[in-house]
Amino acid sequence: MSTEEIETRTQRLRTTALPHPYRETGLEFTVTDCTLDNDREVDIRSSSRLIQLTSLTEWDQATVKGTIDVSEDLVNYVFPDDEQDDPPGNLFVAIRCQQTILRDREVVKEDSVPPDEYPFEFDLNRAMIRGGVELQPYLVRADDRSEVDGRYATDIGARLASGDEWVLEIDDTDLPDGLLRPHIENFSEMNELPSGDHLHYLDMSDAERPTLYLNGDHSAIINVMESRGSTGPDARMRDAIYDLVEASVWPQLIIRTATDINQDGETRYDWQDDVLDLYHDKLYDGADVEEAAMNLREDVNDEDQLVTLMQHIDDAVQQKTEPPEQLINLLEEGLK
Amino acid sequence: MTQLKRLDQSGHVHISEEFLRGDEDLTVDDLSPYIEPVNATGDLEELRRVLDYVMNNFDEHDPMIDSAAGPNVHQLVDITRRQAGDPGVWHYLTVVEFPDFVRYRWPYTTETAMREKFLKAGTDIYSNALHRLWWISELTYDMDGDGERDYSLTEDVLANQTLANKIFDRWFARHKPAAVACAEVLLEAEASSTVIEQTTLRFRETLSKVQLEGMSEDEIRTLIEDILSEVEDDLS
Repeated sequence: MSTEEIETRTQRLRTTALPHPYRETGLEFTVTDCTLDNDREVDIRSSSRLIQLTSLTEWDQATVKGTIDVSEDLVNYVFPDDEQDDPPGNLFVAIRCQQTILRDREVVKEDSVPPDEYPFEFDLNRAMIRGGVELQPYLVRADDRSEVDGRYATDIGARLASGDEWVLEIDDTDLPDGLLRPHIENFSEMNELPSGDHLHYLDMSDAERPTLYLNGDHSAIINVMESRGSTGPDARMRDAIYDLVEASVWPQLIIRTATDINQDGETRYDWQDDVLDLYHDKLYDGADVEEAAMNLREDVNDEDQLVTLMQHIDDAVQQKTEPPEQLINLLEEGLK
Repeated sequence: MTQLKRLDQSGHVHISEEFLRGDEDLTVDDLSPYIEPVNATGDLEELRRVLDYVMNNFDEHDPMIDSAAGPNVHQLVDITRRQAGDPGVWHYLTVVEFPDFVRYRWPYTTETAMREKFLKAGTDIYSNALHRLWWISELTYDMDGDGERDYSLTEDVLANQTLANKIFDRWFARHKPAAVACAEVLLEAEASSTVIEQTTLRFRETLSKVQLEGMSEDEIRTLIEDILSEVEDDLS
């Protein structure tokens, strides 16, 4: 049994979650250029697949250019022999923006997708997007093949391959209301908060409204955490400390959400919807909220899956917080 | 036209249970430290007139209020998706401008449920009382041959609470072609609540195999028609 097959239960890898050949990272998706209003080039962080526009406010349109590489090996894997000369596929970039309720696409190649490197270029209208925009490539089946028996995909729109996601950060991420918005209290003065040297505490006693407390007894740390700038040592230190806090708090919130999901995939509290909004596709690659909810419920109730689930939660939280980036920034600040 | 404003998160502490029940008023002065202007306008005077008319002509808590009010909310709060993605805008409209409409439309059942109608929004379409009307309109309106907005599908969807709930409480509704195709197929079939529930559920399940953005509206429509046919056969 391959590693991919072992992971079937969590649907972490759709290769085995789908009833036909599929490659989750089969498409090499590269963004090469991003230009604002046709004349302002933006730096691209290829290593983290990130285009950060948060410091740039005066623009109306972003033009994104790049390539999608479709290999011969992929075509041979996802299409049957008799279709490989003229593979019936649609290749596109899915464009998703959670804050503006947007699911759209930019078609790159239609009807037939033989092995090649396909260039793409499309515009994003700023009036349609907010927060973060996720870009992800997909190859799907273009023709119906339901009359033919076999192991290959048959339905129009069936997923055949995807690739790594790129993110355009348009605005500083607005956390869902209240989530991880800390309250600062001196733990030594409040019996209901843990004593000792705790830096933070997630109070879940009111399950409807989890509250994150930071320990005001550590005034030097709190001063840094309350700093407002975006550059300089305090800002770098603040971001790294928040990562430390988030690494502890998000897993608690995700696990509590998982245990509260009912058999219809519904959560118990509003904040749990926000947790799913933030983490659904990171926990279960590309899954929508409903699918992720059902998978979470299943995994948290299966003791054989708990270790794998915890690894996936850790992976998802690190994807979100990107601790290496914050630590490198901090290290570079220290070297100045 | 009136400049729109947003209610900051820190002002939420003033939204008491008594306010949610309608037993306490909040003035603009009470909330002024938490209100700030946004770069957008809306015809709130006309919207006030329309919502007053709706409240005078429909019974309290009548779901048909949605159908009468929804397209007006969308047309008179004529903002971009970027602007509509700011929850604070909707919190201002429900708490400061139109709290009477929220309470007229939604009965107080629990504090949590009512707090959602005033203070939810963001990525959850089926939440804040005005936000949900705006987004359902945004995802269902069409343009007619004269370049005017056609809200006929919006009105039909909002007149059927089960349909609105089962489509717009699901993730696929964020894909406008899917929302439109699903609504049109189920409305044309005059589907019962059970059929609506089963069809949208099976459609959602099917989406674990197919990628919605990779399909045309016609292909999505065919898929939903096939699912509807299966559901009707199974229930007959």
